[in-house]
Amino acid sequence: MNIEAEIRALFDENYEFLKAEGGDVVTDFVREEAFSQVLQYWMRNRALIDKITEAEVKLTLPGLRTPRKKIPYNLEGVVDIVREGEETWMYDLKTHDRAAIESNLDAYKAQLNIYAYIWCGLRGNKLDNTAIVSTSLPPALKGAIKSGNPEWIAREREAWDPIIPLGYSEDEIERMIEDFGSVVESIEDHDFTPPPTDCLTSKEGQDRNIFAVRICRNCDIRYSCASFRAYVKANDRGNQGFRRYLDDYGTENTAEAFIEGNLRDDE
Amino acid sequence: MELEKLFEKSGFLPNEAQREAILHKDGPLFLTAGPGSGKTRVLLWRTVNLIVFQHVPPSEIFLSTFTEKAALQLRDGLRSLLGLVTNETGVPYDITEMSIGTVHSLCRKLLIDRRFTDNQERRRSPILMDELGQYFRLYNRAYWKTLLEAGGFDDEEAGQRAINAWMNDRDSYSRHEAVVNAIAFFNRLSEEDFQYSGRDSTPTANGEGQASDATLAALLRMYDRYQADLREGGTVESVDFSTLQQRAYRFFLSSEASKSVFRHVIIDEYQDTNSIQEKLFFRLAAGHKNICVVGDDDQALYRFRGATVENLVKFENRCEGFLGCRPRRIDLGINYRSRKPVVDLCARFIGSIDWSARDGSGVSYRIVDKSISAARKDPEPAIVASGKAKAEDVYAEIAHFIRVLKESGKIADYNQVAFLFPSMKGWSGMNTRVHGFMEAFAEEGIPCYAPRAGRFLEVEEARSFFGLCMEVFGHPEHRERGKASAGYREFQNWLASCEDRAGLLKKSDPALALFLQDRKAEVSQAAADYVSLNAWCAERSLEPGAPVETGFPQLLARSLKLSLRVQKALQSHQLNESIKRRAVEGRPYTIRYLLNRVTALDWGVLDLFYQVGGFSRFLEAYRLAEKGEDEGPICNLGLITQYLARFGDEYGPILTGQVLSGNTFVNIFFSSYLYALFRLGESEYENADDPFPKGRVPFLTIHQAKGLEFPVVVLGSVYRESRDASKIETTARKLLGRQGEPIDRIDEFDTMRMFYVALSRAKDLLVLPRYTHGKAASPVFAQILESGTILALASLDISSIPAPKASVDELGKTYTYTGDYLPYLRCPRNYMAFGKYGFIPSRGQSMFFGKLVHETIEDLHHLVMARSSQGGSV
Repeated sequence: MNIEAEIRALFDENYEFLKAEGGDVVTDFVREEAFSQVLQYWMRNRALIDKITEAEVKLTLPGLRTPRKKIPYNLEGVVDIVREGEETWMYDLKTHDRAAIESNLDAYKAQLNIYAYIWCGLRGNKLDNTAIVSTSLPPALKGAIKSGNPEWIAREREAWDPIIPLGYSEDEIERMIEDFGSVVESIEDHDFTPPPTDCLTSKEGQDRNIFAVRICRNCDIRYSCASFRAYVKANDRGNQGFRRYLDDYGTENTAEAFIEGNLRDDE
Repeated sequence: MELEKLFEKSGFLPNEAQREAILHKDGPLFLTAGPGSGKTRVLLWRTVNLIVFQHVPPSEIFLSTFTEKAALQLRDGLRSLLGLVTNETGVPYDITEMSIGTVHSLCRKLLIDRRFTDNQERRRSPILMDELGQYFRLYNRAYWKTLLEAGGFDDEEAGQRAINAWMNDRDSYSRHEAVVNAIAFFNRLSEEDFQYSGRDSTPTANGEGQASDATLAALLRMYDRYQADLREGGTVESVDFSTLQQRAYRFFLSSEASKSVFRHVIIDEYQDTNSIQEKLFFRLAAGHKNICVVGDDDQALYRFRGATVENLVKFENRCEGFLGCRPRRIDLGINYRSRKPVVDLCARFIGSIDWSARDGSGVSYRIVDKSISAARKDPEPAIVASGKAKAEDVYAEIAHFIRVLKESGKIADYNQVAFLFPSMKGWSGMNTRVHGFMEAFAEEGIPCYAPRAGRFLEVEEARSFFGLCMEVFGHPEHRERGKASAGYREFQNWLASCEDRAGLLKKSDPALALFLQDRKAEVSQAAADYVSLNAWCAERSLEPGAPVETGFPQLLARSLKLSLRVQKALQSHQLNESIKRRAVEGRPYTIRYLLNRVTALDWGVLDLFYQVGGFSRFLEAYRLAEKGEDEGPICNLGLITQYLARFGDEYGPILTGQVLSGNTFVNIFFSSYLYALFRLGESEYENADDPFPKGRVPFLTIHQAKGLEFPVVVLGSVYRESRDASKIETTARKLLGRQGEPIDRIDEFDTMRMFYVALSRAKDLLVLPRYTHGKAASPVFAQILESGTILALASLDISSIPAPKASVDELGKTYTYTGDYLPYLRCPRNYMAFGKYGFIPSRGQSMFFGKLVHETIEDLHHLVMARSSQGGSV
């Protein structure tokens, strides 16, 4: 069996497994989109994948305390891949697109740097760099795939740069851990206030959409959220009020995908 | 660095026996550990000794605990002790790869552990059904019918009657009861590693015993069918908790490596293990023979779940049988928890019956020659009893005393007192003692916390929401007295109370009334559209199973007067493209599918739940949680989403015009699904992390109190109904040729052990009730209470109770970047619901997509690594 066929078999098996586990299922169309993401990932990153020495590495930093109240906690994470060779790199995979990752670079950088710190400090390994791999396909490559033209696909695949290096240094580790700790402290303090309303109209990095559309619209509990309600009220031009936004299940496409994905064929 | 120095640094002074146990490193070890004897500490230190001083890699240690919480505590405890070592020596330790957990979680983990297979290929762990999942799988009417047929029952009701009569010795046609009975029996068979030997021969287990009656034979055939369906039904193998262990055991048998993957196998709470677990542990320990079991036969509580205390009592013999050598036995017998009078009472109590075989053979059903003595020697009275009075007066006296304790500062918080009951539930609804104490508490103004006392569906949040559902979807037909079982009548009362609730909510919130009206209109429109579409097809003799041809939806749209929504759906580009594609692929959609697809609502019950969250009734619950003021209501909301999501998993989340027309949906949702939840009596939300909220007195079952301790313990009841050994127990004996405690003494033994657990939870003070009427006290308690040795509560000098010590939890929780930090930064409120309180999102497609891609890529990485380690390339 060639590797493409093996990937297909793994993919189909995972699909069946996730489906059997319950929860919502994607449509056939989206399933093929997911498969194409995996396949392109393999074809574009072969060289890297061949050099992987460890995968799904669990890392723990025990015995930490939050900055203010000194609440004890542990930090735990999983690194997707480590590659050794002339240099040792650590990678984390993200299914978001490059723009979304770049708009949130500091948080990811902190994440990988702390993982790296555990990897080197606690495990006594060496490390040269850290990076994110964005598995989401760029629009140009998607367009090429849609056309079915193999040369165009190959060209766009080569042009795709999925790796975002983040560097590694221990200089800022302390601040990064403290930052993590202050979030832990807020969670332990049960502070779950939503972002203020003006934050809902803000854009971040290269994102086209404002927070209310990007985040809130995908959040089930927006109807009961004071910030979102204030946003709706302020932006309700047709004065249709509460009733209209209660009808909002996303775009027509997502509504249809919800039905198509979950309605069994034999029904 | 020496172990002694570490003891000193951490302020631990082990006694002789503890030290011996900690230092033991080779060969099987048998630790008997009485209540409060520091066994968790011993386990921790012994593991530290193995890792640090014996250089055993953590990945070669298997440590099984009774609960996930205990596993978490051990893990965190190990991390801090090892951290202590690192600080001294600079040598880092990482226990991430150590196998610590419940047997179930370890079985799941080991089933995909690459060390057990030669070819390093990834194995797939079967899908695990939890108890509720298993119940719904069998309760599903169509599936249940096939099972009954496999058993030879053509008539459902007759089958159910036969099963219920066989199991409970009473006449009942209830499907719910029969399913619950079948599950209990099936699980026991799996836990005994029962192998059905075929349809036509006599059923045997390992060649022993045989089935003697028709119903048993039928149940065995049903079990056989059930097991086959788990293995082969559907594309992915699934298991229940019991079958999971059997699968793991069979997998270990097939793997020679399994005998020596672990250098040390350590099992806590060994008195509550069952027979498949015993086999599994001995298999894993077969190579190195380092098995260490810890337990107390006097605290065995789980016979009703198939546990066999003999595993512990006879451990020395079993060890000889399995491993060919006898274990070293060490008794941990010094109690550091309780004041001396409590320890003495416990010892007197457990010794008050005869545990030896009546045949004079000298066999004892209890581990002999072990004893327990108190480390605390203060002589003050630590056991008191209420005045002997009728129940109401006893409740009042004790409740008042609790308030005095609090006001005098003898307890720092109400959660330092626990009320323990053999059971929280009574014949119908709440146990009368629980109820009585609750009323007395209300009188005194003391809040209590009793998560297992009531049904979850009875909480306000649930009644409000399900009442609103009835406003939208309609309600199930009322069944008259003669036609409804007692259980269903009770359910109907619940439905009526939900309706009342919803009525009030509508009245007080006009916007909500309007919203419900809109939803109701959509529901009836979808049903009406379906009816006309269906009629149109029927008139033209188009079969529901006939293929849909290209252009057919447009034809429907032109020919019929339908709602705008359905008109649009029929003309959707996406749909018509799919129809074309499927026709080309030779698997066209059916007319049935098409009608469902276009009439389906674009929202489900979960969406409805989240939308009504925006109305005043529910806003408060969210607000309280956001500010950290009260998490009770939000926990209940989270649990509702879990039940709704499960409904979607079982019956499909899509509401089609077909199920909405007629009574189909209402019947499935209310009369089938919610009724089942109602009868199962699923209890309220319990937070596993912090079990007992501050400011409330916990009311617990004795089982819930296992492994816990409280400054003050009150036994709410000192009576346990005597009962015959269960049919499952007697059948297992006959069928499997199991030896064990004599059937006619099981009840006595179990009663003693249960109350022993209750008594030994108390640190400073134990309070017993003296009732005059009803089920006042089991004989053994009557004897103690009437002996005149117990001080009256009224004469207790409150100053003799030691000052409270606030318990500090120094073990931190574990947080992650992707699960906690990043989601919290994105939106703290969203994290609260979906990260902390277990809300289930209504749309899971993007999550599904992400998981599918990520997991396949992970598999790909492993595939490539495995290839290159075999010297090949891809």
